Amino acid sequence: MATAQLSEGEKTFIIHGIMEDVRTDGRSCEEYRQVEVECGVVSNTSGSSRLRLLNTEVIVGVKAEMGDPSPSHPNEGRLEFMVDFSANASPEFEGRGGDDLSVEMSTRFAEVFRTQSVLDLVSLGIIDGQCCWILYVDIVVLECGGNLLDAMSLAVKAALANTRIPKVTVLKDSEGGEDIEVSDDPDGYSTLNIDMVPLFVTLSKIGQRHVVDATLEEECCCSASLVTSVDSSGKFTGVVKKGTSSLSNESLHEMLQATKKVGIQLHHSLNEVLKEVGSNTSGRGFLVG
Amino acid sequence: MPVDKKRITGPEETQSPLLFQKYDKSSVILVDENGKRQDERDANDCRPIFMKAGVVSQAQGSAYIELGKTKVICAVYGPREVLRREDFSMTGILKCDFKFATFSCPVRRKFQPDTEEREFALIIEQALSPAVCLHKFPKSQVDINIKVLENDGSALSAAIICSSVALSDAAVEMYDVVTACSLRLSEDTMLLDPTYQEEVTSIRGDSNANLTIGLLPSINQTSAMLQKGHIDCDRLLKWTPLKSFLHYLLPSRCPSLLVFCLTTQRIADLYGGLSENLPHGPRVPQEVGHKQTPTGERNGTRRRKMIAVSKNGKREQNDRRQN
Repeated sequence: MATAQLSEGEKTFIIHGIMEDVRTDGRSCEEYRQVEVECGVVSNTSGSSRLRLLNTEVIVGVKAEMGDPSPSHPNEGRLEFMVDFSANASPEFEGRGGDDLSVEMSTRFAEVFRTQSVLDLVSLGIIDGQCCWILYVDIVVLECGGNLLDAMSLAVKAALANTRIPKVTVLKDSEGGEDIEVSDDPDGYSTLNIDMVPLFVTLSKIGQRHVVDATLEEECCCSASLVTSVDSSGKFTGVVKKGTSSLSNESLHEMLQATKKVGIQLHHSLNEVLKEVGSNTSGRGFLVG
Repeated sequence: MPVDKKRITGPEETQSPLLFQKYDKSSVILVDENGKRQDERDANDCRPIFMKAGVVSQAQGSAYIELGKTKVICAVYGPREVLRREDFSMTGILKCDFKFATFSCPVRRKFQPDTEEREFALIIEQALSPAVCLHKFPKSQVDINIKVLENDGSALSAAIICSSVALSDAAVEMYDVVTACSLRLSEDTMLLDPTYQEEVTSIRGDSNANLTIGLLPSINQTSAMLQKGHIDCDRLLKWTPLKSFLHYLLPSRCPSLLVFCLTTQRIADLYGGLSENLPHGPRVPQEVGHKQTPTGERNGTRRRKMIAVSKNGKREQNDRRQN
């Protein structure tokens, strides 16, 4: 991860401030930074979104393609995640530098979305055992300002809300084989039900307290963090402890309780925004009006 | 995901016959009316453990663990110089490589480490870091290589325990031994140390999750936590009884097991000499003797100096010298 270089004095300043529930930008420990979400920003995709969490910027593009279903679930479609760290975010991501981190994050997403009730994958099936929709969710990190996973999961949820999958009709031709016809009607699409899609909430332990939405400087002072994926009802679909330090029982309890509270609030806020901009497909830019 | 095109791998068009087996998932019962699981254990019972240290002669430290049918072997090389100049740091680095043997799981695994293995490697690294005195070996790294020979559930926990025993066998300075345990949680049941069958059986529509915890027992701190699946927050927090169970069970077994398995004089001194009382459960490897010559050297010489005590109590080495 792109890290800021901090001196011991700066770290002490941040840790002491957090002990008093005051962070360097004036937020409280469980407050998020200002989030900007835009949907339908890339016109070549089936769904896209752009998210800005002050200094962290992420663009997600979802492309729906047809392919073979996995043999263990022949009637379901699937999602494939790929996180790409662009060299814009940090010079250490140039070439293959961002690979390790990208694999780690793609795995986190894949793992969480593999849980059964997250998305209705059966609706993505076309012909049992032969053809299904595969949604390639590609996340590009343009700017790295801390708290990447949370930002990426918010953007992914927004992009999935924006995704339009063309309607498909399966015709039986004269020899008994099956022919697939994709509708070219601009209104002939179906959208995904994203109610159960979870969001990542990262809680970083700094000193004796935990903070939500750590900035790059705060991440340097953090000894351990808990990355939880929470759905809108507060259920956990994946918990991982990261970092080289250990956590005590009480910290763990506090952090998990806080995660549930923060997660539900985050879902609520995002759903409010998506009601307005979720179905936007105008393809924004400076030239297009 | 970029694929390695330089290696020649086997044909990819093959599929496991298990995928074609039709079986009724709803008929798999994890716990029956008497509260017994499929292998006759209670919900709170761990499988019997066997551990042995010093199994890889070329490595500085190594360990082998059997947790029921799950078999994991770990070798530790180091501390040695960092291989890449860019990784220079004033504290030591732990590099962990985790791999399932291709034949270890019901469905054949690929030769290349896949994403699950890379994730586990990262978790084990982070589980062991708080326990190791990293500041004692600056500019150096310790390589931990873990191989799962057979996966019958709880592979990650077995790997964490195995690698901490291997680290102690390598005489890497540590604050504490890391123990770990897995749990299978669902709406109304909590199964300790699940088998592979119990881990993958999913009950549709129900909340069910697999949880692995890594614990530093002496200081009661959690160093690893991985939860997969769907679970309610309050249900997850109820695992505190598990934590205290872990705290009580594994460390009480581990020190005596360590004393028994490890043959280095330094570790034996730490625990006040070898214990004659065998802990309940593990099998006794016959070749480890009761007496040993103190030796300052590690890596190979210690085994030659082991003196086996034969049945009549006479020292066999004496007999050999006379012949």
